[in-house]
Amino acid sequence: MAVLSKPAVPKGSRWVHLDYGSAMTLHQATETVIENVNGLLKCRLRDWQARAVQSLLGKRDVFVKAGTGSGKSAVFQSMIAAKENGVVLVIAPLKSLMDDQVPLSSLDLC
Amino acid sequence: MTALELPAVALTKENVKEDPEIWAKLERAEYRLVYASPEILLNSKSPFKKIMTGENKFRDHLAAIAMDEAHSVWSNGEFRKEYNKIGAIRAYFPKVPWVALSATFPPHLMSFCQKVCNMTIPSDVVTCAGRRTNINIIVIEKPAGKTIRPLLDLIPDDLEHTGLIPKTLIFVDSCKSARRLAQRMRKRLRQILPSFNSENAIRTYYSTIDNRKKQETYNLLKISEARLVFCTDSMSLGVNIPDVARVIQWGVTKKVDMNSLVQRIGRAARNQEIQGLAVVYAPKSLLRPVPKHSAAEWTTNPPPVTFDDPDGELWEDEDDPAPVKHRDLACFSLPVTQDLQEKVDQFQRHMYRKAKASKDGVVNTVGPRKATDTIDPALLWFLNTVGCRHRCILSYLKYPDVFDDSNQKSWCCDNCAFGKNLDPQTTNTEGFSVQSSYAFASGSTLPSSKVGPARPDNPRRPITATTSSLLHEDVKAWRKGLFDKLVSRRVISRALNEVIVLPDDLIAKVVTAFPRIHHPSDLADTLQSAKFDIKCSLLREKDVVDLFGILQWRVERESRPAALPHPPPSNGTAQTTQASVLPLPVSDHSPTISDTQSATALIQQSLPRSTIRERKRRAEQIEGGKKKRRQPLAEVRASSQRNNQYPERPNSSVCKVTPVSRRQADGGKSVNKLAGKTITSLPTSEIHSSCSLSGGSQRHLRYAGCDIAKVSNELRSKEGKRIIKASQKLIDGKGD
Repeated sequence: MAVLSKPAVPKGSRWVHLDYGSAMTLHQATETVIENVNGLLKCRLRDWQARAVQSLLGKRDVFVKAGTGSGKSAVFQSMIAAKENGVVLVIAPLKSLMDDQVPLSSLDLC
Repeated sequence: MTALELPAVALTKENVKEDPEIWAKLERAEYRLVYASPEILLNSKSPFKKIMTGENKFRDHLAAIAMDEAHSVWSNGEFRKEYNKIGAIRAYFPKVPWVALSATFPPHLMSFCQKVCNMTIPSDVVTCAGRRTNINIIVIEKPAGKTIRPLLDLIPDDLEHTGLIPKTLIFVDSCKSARRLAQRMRKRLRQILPSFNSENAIRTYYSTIDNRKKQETYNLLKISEARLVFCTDSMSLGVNIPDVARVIQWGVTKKVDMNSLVQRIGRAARNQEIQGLAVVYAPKSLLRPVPKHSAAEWTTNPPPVTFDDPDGELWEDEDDPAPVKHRDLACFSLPVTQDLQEKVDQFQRHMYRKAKASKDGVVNTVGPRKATDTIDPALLWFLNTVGCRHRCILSYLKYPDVFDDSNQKSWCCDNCAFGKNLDPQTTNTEGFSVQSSYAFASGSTLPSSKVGPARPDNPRRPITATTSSLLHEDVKAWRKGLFDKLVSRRVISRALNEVIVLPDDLIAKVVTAFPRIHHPSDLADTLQSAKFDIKCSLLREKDVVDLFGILQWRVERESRPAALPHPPPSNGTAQTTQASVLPLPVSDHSPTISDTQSATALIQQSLPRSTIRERKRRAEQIEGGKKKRRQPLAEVRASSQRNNQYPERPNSSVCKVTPVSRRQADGGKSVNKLAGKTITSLPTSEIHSSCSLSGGSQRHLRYAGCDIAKVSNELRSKEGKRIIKASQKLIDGKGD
């Protein structure tokens, strides 16, 4: 895992502790996770998706409001990369929705 | 798109039953992605409670909790109780960040979700562009009644292959109607293409259908075998079929709100490369009955933005049971533009507050529920706005890209197409042209000459003084009828005068101008030129057409009375002649009760049934055969009284029962049985059977001279012998 050992951070940025290594700034942590996801998928998270992931890594609750079909699920799916063997619990209202996503089990990022 | 194989699981009832190990595996964090419904996690026997409270791997590895389609807490909280307890999960995992995702998150819903899910305040909000650039939206008036003609037209008569039908999801409100519509459509498909598999081409999808069939439908949709899918709301979340060309919302009721509509529309054209279409069929009662305020008018002379109606004026359309406040709909035409931003904000605050109030139980519906209460106001706004519908959606959901119209790939929505002056006939997507939209239809309130019957070149003969006075009487009788109707519907107060419907001087004008009037639209023009604004009056399009029909019938009848079928009965004619010597009414004369009563009676007796039919036929023709209107109740009642086939009330004690056609009256059948027999010779049982039937038969027998009320009352007492005696007595002695 990429561990950024020399953090040169601007004043006031938050520090996050990830399982992957030493403490790093939120920005760097996000980069790490995104790199992770990107490495797995060979595909890039979009800016707003990265922004939401960043907030989550900072242990902040997030509302994600994005148009239908814009790739909302990528946000929580990428959170599995935030920890080693990270688990994400998804509460979804409908059975059909879950049935649809699980057999595919894909990260639709593109 | 790359697929990543992750150990994922959906905790559904079936899966839990099949694999008892599932919870243990979950506890050992063997799954990376866990999908679950609130019910499975939070019901009283759920093992998840143990996992939540204990120390385990799942707890250690949990990186985030996501709440997908989080807007459903709003609507589901009422009937899925576990939804209100979601906050408990949060309480057990206080350090795990929570993400709530939805495409439809208006502010009031966001704060509600925050409260229910125990999210931190403030939470971060991440928004991205919400505009669906490749979907065109069109709103069409749903034909009144139960006709499904527009749906049947989805399968054209000359279809050669089912693959030529664009892939369409049709959203309806109940499983029952989904099934019924699908059956009907399959029947049609079998008629046109008997060799194709109609079961596969037309599918249904709703929550109670079994899983195997659901999966089958889903697969058939994926491989493009299924072309039309009738579905309920269960299809509207998360379903990701890339190439759905059309989404049709069939009807708008209180079950649909703005959020669910946006979700449904969002099912179309998930693949950004293709162009999708969303069609919303809304009942007329939810659409503004008059031409809309233009965007310019909104800046100069805006209608008041309000949801409160102190007068409680109702405008009820008899085709649709849901009453709608006529005045309110005016303010729903507000377009979303940069100039009107302030107004839009104000408007939305009303809307959010109202929604919030309804959730908090502040607004409790006491008394008759109004459509503005039952239908989501945002939805009314979406249907009636004169501006871009995409903007309306985005503005309501507070997306940042409200004004980025330039991203839109096609003509955007019906209103935009008009704004851009596109040709309505050629502007179409997937077989729906803008011409069919309500925006186009409402551009001209009254049927234009294009669609109506051809006008005669020559004007009619000038009207004689007698005809003129008759016309006055007719119109006044009609006005009285309309006034009563409006009073009975509580549109206006009884304290008002009938003149409010149509002033007397206007009647005089119309009558004098009638030789030049050949079409309802001419009549409307005449009224308009006399500074009578139909849009603001109590008259509706239908009423003007009606009025025209009455005038025309009278003029035709007076010009050649012998040629008309079914001349009125003799005493009717006597009254007509009597009426014809009445003096011409003065313009400021307001009719007295007796005056109008006689006029009503006159018109009821003198108008033959054929006229009604003719008028109805003409109205249908004018409306381009699109709308098949139900005959108004008053007219039906009047027509049955006017019917000339009924025998006159006899003076002698013996009369014959004449046969009735089936259409005439509901009880016609039983009377037909009695046809040809004299009433005195009828056995009591037969009278019984006809009397116990209501409506037509009773009226018929009354015409035949029986006192139905007495007979049926006696019959109801169920005392055999007495009944027979009494009814025989009645029949024998009915002459006195």
